[in-house]
Amino acid sequence: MKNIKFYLAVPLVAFFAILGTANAATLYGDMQTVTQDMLTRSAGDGNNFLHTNGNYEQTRYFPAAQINKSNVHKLRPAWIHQAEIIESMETSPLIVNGVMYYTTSFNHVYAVDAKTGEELWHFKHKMGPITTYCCGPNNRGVAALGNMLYMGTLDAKLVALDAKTGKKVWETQIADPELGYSETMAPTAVDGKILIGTNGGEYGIRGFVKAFDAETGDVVWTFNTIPENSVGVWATHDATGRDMLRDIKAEKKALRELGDPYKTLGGGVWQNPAVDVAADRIYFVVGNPSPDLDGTIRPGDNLYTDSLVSVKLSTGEYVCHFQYIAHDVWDLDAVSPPVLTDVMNDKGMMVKGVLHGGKSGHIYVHNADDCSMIRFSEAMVPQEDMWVLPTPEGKRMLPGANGGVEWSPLTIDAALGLTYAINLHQPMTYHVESSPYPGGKLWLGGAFKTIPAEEQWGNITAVDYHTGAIKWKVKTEQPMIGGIMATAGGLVFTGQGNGTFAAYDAENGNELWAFQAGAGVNAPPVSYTVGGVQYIAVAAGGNVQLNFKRGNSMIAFTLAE
Amino acid sequence: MFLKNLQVYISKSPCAFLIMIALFLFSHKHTFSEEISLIVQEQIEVCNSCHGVNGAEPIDENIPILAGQSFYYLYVQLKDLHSGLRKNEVMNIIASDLNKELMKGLAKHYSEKKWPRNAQEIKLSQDEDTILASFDSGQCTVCHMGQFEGNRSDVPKLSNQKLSYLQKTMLDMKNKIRMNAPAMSSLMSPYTEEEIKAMAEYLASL
Repeated sequence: MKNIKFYLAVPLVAFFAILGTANAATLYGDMQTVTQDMLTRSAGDGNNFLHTNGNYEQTRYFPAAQINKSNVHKLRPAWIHQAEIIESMETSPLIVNGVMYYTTSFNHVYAVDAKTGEELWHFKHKMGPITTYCCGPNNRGVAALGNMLYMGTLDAKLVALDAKTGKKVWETQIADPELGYSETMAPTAVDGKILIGTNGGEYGIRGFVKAFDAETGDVVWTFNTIPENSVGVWATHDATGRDMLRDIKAEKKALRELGDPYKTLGGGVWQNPAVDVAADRIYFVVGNPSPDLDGTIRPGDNLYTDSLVSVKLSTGEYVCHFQYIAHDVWDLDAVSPPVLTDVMNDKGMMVKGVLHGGKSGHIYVHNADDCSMIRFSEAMVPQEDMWVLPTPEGKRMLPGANGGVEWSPLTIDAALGLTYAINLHQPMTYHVESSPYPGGKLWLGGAFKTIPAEEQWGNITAVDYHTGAIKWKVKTEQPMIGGIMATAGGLVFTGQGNGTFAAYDAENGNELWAFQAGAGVNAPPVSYTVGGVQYIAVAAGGNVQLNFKRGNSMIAFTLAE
Repeated sequence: MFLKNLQVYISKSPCAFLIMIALFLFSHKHTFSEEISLIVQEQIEVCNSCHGVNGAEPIDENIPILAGQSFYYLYVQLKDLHSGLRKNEVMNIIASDLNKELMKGLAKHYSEKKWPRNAQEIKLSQDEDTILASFDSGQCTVCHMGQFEGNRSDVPKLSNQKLSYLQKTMLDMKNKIRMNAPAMSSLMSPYTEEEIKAMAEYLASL
């Protein structure tokens, strides 16, 4: 009897200890392997961080509240792990059962003890001789399933690693790097499949999302993001109703003469899909058409570039899409990963919705059922002269081609009905210069140039996604790129190119804590709990795209004693 | 008859037979890859006559350093010189005889050599902040990476390259003479000749 009490007491004490210190910390699965159940229920898991964006819904909302508004000022570095590669870090670490897995530029992977920072193993991908990639040798992380990790590589491979040892189990070629295909996004693991898109919209690829068998690496299905009929409906206005000044007559003539440009039309997918397992649906956004600035040789709407797309998880079959900018000639495409959450529709009813932060500077709110747009938010950054057409001499237009919102993921606090985005303000001129398909080389059809005399800056913006109104905005001294995370502690964490990593009050944007990391903090933060102690972690490696100071640190923070 | 004679020969002199086998094995004509390697070696001598030992000591300021450039960049340039997509009177002739294997062999050879310290006395014709603003405007480091060291793949290292070569290349891109990198031609178009001169000076001085 005494023993029985003991056996009951220990786990109960442990349970309440965890509950008391990290609140929503809930144990799922056996914690030795990543089960589908753990992945599916990760939104409520306060111990692990199992997806690039926290959970299948991609809310990047971490449910632990040990670190909160009242004590965040006590946040201190717990450990710093330094990687071999000193180059741009866009990685979002995964934390599984007290082990952190993160990646660096040029496809290195590290496993470190998430409590101490001690290195457990280090994998270096043996890069093939041919790689073609824009914009920098970045990698945004791994996916975890079972006892395996999965990473896409710059030479367009999918690599499977043993999570315990870091040894390669298999690799498969996703596409031909000589034609401009490469991988920087983290894959998504679901239902025995590994989902991954492709870079290459700057090289005249034909984009896709593919599902691979997690055990064998065999292709399960492929969804081409550019259909063979890419013409569409000849849309003359963008999602917000503004005239895009298309010359439809000239485009129709070009279509007759050149045919459908689908084979080299671009349409990369830079970031993870949101997954609705129960509905057998995934949602992802498709990037720009190729060549970026020259529309004369790619007539039509260029479907499904610059679009939110939903396909069936099990088969890759098309379900619906919504195109933000048809026939884009500004590279103001769709890259920030979509978020699934309940939203208020235009009749005041709560429906399953999808959020996307556009390079245009708007948060777009969709009905998840049919991809239709419910609303778009106020512009988070200045918009001027939209949509003036690029010219050989260059035309100024705001936002610049990096957005708005770049690839940086959003986060949400559903209780507040707010989504948080990080923004760039980079005035640019848009130049067009036609050139034929160069066979896998960089193919922009012109150039984007920043304007040296004009100030650049950034924002952290909170948007009420039920109304589209901006709730608060914090201006930063540099354009923002990397990512953001909200927590149950009422906090929002994000970093800047100048090395600042800070916590803000989720309700009003007040800065509550800041740390100087010594290199650009341009990666999405994560959180996890080990031994009842909550940590916040983020990479400080700078950014190649905005040329922020490079570094090689993964930094974990926790509350001082 | 030959076999019969061979049998007699072996029975009389087994040692000679072993020598014969050894000669057969070791004097057999080179494998395909060995032959390629030999031809690459011969070709390297041709290349080095202008690009210098290891491609690191060009004999003329308009000739680039090759040593330490990435394999893929060198291979693509050879392909484009071979096809005529990149125009250069001398190199078009030399590259016209190269096949794919030879081009890969040459690219591999030079990519494995060490970049020399190319000390150049350079006075910048614009102040450094102005030059850096020019680079920022073109977002040059997005592809050429920090310190313009190249991306280890299709984008070349520019830092410490020969000044005259850099300036000529950028001007050729601007003036649509060099057309094998259309994105670079577009990017160079809006820059003035003075800006290009100063940017080349800065790159060479790194």
